[in-house]
Amino acid sequence: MKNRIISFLLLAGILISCTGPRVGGTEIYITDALGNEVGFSDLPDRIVISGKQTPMLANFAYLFDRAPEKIIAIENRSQSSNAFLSLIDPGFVNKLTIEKGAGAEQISPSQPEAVILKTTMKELIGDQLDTIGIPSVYVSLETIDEIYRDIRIFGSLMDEPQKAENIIGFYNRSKESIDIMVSTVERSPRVLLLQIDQSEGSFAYKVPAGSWLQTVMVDELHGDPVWKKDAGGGGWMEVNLEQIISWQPEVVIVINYQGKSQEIIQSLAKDSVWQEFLQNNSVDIKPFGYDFQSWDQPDPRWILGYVNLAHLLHPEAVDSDVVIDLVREFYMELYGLEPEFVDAEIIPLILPQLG
Amino acid sequence: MSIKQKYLITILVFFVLIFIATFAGRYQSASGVLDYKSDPLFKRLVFDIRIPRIILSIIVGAGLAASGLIMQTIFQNSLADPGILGINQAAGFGAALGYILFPTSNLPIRVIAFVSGIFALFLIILISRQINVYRRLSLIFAGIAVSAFFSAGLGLIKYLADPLNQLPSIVFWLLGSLSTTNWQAVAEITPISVACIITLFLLRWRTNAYALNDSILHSMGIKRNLEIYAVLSISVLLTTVIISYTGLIGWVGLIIPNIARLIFGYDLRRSLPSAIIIGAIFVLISDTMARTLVAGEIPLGIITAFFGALIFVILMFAKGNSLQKNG
Repeated sequence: MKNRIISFLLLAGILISCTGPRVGGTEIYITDALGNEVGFSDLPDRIVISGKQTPMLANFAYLFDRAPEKIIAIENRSQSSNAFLSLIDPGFVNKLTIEKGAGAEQISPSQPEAVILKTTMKELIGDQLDTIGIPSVYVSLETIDEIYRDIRIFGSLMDEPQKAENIIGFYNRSKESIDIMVSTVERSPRVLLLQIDQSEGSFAYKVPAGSWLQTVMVDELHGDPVWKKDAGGGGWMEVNLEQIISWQPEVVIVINYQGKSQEIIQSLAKDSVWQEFLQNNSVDIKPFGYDFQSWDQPDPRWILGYVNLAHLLHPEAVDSDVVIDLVREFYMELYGLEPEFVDAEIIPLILPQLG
Repeated sequence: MSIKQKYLITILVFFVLIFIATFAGRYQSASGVLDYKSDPLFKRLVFDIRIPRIILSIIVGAGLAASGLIMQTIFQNSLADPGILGINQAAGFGAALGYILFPTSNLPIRVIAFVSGIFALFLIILISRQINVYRRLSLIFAGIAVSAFFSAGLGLIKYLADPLNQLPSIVFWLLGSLSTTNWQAVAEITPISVACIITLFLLRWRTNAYALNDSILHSMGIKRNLEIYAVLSISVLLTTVIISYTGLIGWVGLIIPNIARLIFGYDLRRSLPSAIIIGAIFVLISDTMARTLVAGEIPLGIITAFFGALIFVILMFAKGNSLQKNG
């Protein structure tokens, strides 16, 4: 009996030592886009942004004043917000860059206290991070409502909930005023948003999914998105020029994620089929707004995309000055930039696109 | 049915398909297909988009089928197409490397794709000779290894490519599609491809003989290795020129030669011209479907793989049944 008691006590001791000491308690919970309650003893000071669409996530994080000190590393993706974030954060160049496609093994050496990921990255990265005890906070940012919800998640992580409400308030006010301007338009033009890549005189065309932000924006701005009923839900769909012509758009808006929309429009104007199509059908072809990144994406600049699109579809209702004014307000109010800086560094990028 | 009749039917089908493909498309003229002159946009579409694409799909189908048949004949292996042997992957690797090193010029891209293809062929022959198993099998083993090696290389190039300036071009090319075809592409691809196809066609009698044993070849005055390598190099050049423009389009070089042999026999004098026409028909049908079936452009490689796999299974059954009957 004595031996059994000693054995039991030894076993219990071993088990207790294996679980380790619980240092402090979990006091702060953040509910993320997947509905997970992520617990922290203190709000994280070392945050990594990883997975897909990191430039957009970083742009959202930098809407908050504490981002420059809290964001320690960002994964490198095909688009980059480095040019813009270096302008607003002098310390940005010293931040760690995580290689594209990094997993938990590559992220963990930066010793993050939290990793911000898109919801689609849960199985690929998030579950691995959970296994090694690094908390993941998920955001989705696919629709305007999700953007508002996720801004509140960023606000909680940065400990700036009031700033989150201010940002949402800015978006709501701006969107409402644009909606009022276009509410009086009498007709809905047939619109085609087209992502075009150019390579040695040939072009590849893609249209966005029917449920994506780009399509929703055209719908909300009293445009008729001609590709919507044909587009699937899986992402960008490659189409050919015949299909583009058969949709009979009145306005074609060119998106290019390398900022070459204007160059592409000039090249298209030299193409014999495009020439015939544009001239005979009185089709307007215009570039989608782009400064450091394209404005059509689920990025903080979506509101600039919204006003830009309103101007492109209804120039009689939304003047180009409205676009420029909102760009000024956006950068001054949301990113805290000085008006002189915005006028010198950002407005000149936009003016040539507004015609 | 005589061979002549079979040829006539194949050629007739080929021309009917060209006619259908010319007037099939997502855009239809309001004034009707035959009155295209009254719709200048439709006229432009037909002459500047559809016809170049039809020409290129014919070249791609004919070229890949011819190249596949020549390799299968020389290696005496009905599975030895450029895709299985890894030559397609090597050409893909070379083209991607070309995009990185010479992003503004097509010629070096095609040269590097060709050199990679030749290097892959050299590796396959070298490795297969070292493998101490049945010759036909050793070739496939070597092909799998070489294919994996160049696929890994292609993946590495994509990983290392500048995500803003280089990766989009590589991804653009990897789509494996004829959707960006224009007259410029036809002018770049056609002369060299047609020259290769004609050369292979003219050498079909001698290539037939390569399947014979060395002593018979010697008595016929054929220097086996030198000529075989020359013919193989032309096949590789043909494949790499096509692949470096279209991206990876599989199954054509594997399936079409088998169909041609099934219908027209093993003699290259008959099977090569028929493989060229059937290959052209196969890719023409696939590409017409790719551009017309749905609003979105379906990657050509998906359609050729789908029908290729289907035909492959049917061929296997057909061969199995004929073996049972004979045996």
